[in-house]
Amino acid sequence: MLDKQNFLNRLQAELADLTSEERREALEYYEEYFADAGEENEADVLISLGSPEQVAEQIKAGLHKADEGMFTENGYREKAEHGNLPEIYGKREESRDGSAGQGEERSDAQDRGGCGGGAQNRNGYAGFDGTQNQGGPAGQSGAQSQNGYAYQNNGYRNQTGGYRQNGGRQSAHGQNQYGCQGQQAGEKKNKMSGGTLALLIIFGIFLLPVAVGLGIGAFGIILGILGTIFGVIVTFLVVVVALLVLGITLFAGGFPILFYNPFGGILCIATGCIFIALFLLCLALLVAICGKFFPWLIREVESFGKYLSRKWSERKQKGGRTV
Amino acid sequence: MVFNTGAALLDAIVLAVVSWTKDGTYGYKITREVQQLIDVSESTLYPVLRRLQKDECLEIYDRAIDGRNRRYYKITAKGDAQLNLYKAEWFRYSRKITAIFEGGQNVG
Repeated sequence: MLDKQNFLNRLQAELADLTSEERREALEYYEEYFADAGEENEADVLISLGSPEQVAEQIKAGLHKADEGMFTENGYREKAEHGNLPEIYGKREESRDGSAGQGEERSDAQDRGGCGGGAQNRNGYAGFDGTQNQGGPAGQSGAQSQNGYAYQNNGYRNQTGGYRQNGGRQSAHGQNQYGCQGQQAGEKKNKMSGGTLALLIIFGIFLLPVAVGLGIGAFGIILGILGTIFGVIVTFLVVVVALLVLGITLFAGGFPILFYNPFGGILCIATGCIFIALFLLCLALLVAICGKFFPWLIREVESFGKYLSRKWSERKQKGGRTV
Repeated sequence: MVFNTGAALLDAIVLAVVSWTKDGTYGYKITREVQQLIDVSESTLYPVLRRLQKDECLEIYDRAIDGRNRRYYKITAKGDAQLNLYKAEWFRYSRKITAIFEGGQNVG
């Protein structure tokens, strides 16, 4: 029969690949846990904790998750969803994931509720949450990651990911910050924070040229568009002015010609009239463009800008709330 | 319980339970209290506590009890903010679900 010391020894062995700080923290926690439960409850605690291997698995999964989500959330999120999760608990979940996204979960959940199978009756909510956050197609992966969490905290980042997408908050950025601010524990924690900081800086250095390049590119594109618009406007104005000048010249010049060549004179005046009419038409068009199109364009650009800045601040906000 | 307790909800519950006691509370007690509310395994909470602590939603301190140290968890300002956010989200969410159950009106 497993006793407390035995449990702790085996747990320690299972946690051998963690940092010594993490191992110490976890062991202290469970030592205290036994102490607080009291000797008379030791057997009960041992039973409800499960095997040291399971406990270790949960500790690692929790840590793993927390560390993973730190830097590039999307990349790591992928990994968690398809890689490490199913490996550990996914098998138990597979048959249920299939139904989770498709509305069968209600009866499923009821069944579980009926037989009271503790750990297993959790799918209803998972499928539910997954679909709510991510829409139909994403429902399955959402459900999967959440199920994982229900057992071992593994889906945490994923789930909040979905959650945040919906509620408007998230970014790897914010998490990095927390990583950097670690202050409560000893030197090792600081060391880890230093690593996080270094990684951040390296990231920044790598991203800098890309960002600068993109910025210059975007600037060039905008400049090009503005130049084109300017050119079109100038050309248009020149044509309009030319139409007016030509029209007036032809119209005025037609009258002297009338005396020696009536037909030619009339043609000249008529052409002048046509030009002036064209000028007036262009003028009307110009007024319409200035009065309607430009305000519309400016509004559109403005709302697009607002949209962008909202997205941006949402991202920032999300970062702040990612915990 | 029929419904699954997701990660965010579990975080929220732990934060809430810890916030009940102003001076902070300890692992065994937190586990007991959470277990009275929802069906979680005993080993689920350590990783949650550890992570919340790392994320600075909880702070820890040790107090001598019966000749040994006991680690206390206390909610931080950041944890408090996070809890409030979870609460708001939960109320919004549960209102919607209630609306669905009560006939599908006002589901937005």
